[in-house]
Amino acid sequence: MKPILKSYLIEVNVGTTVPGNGTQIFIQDYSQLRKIFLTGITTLDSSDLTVSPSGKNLFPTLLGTTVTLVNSANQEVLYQYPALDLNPSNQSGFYRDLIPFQLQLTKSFITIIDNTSITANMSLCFNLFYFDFDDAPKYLKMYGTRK
Amino acid sequence: MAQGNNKASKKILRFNVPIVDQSNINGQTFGRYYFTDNPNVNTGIIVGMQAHASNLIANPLADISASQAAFINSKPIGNAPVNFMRSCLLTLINTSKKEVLSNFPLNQLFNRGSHGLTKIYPFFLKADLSKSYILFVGSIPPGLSYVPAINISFYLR
Repeated sequence: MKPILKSYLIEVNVGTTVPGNGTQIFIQDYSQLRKIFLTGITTLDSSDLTVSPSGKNLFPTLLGTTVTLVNSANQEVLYQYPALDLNPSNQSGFYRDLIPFQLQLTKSFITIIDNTSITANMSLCFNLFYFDFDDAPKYLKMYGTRK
Repeated sequence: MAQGNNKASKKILRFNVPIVDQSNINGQTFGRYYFTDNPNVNTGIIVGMQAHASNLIANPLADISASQAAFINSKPIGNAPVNFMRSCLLTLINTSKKEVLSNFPLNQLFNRGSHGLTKIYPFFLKADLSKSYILFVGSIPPGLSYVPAINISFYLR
């Protein structure tokens, strides 16, 4: 696991109705995360957090959800990856390290593949590990990767 | 010791953050509870963090005694129990007043927690403790006879 330089908890809310299977829900804009290199990611379910910072209940299980993350070149870096496998409790406590890439959050989304345990107004939370564009010269080398 | 579960550091300092505010002894859901200032943390580099929890509400995963030696408004302070870990989010702010950790779930810093094998995550950041806080998103059980205090150790270089 590479060191965490900054982190930000985001949530994806399903809205006022239960999403159907196959529904894609895009991640909302977070101004602080517009110009970042993503270095790692974890997901959280209701066993990790009682409610989200905005007071929403979390998904009780991540089995029916996948994650797609898109970079600044509109390429999928993570494509339809099971959200459950991004939860450290399923990976012996480790979180996923990623080779840093410029995340385009508003084009990234989750896909509901099984809505069995999901009810209206529930949220899926992600903890994103990142550093800012401005700090890239300092930290890209530390993560040993692309320019 | 499992790989990734040891962060070499010069100092490991544990801090208490009582979930209590001046006007309400019980603390509030969605309240922010601030750390006390500490120059060791403010001038050092945080390379690891670890949350601790007590067995005040019986739980075999506890790693610290409840200890109710200190008091606030004549009410004893007790180290918060394990189930509080799910209700706390840590925000660290640096000396430039920018958030370096925003709502980091304490459950992911409690390495004896529900994850069982959760590692002590590596960090590399600076923080100003006097501006940093814990957001409490749970509720304090009615009739609790002590003020729960959240415990976090900072591994410093």
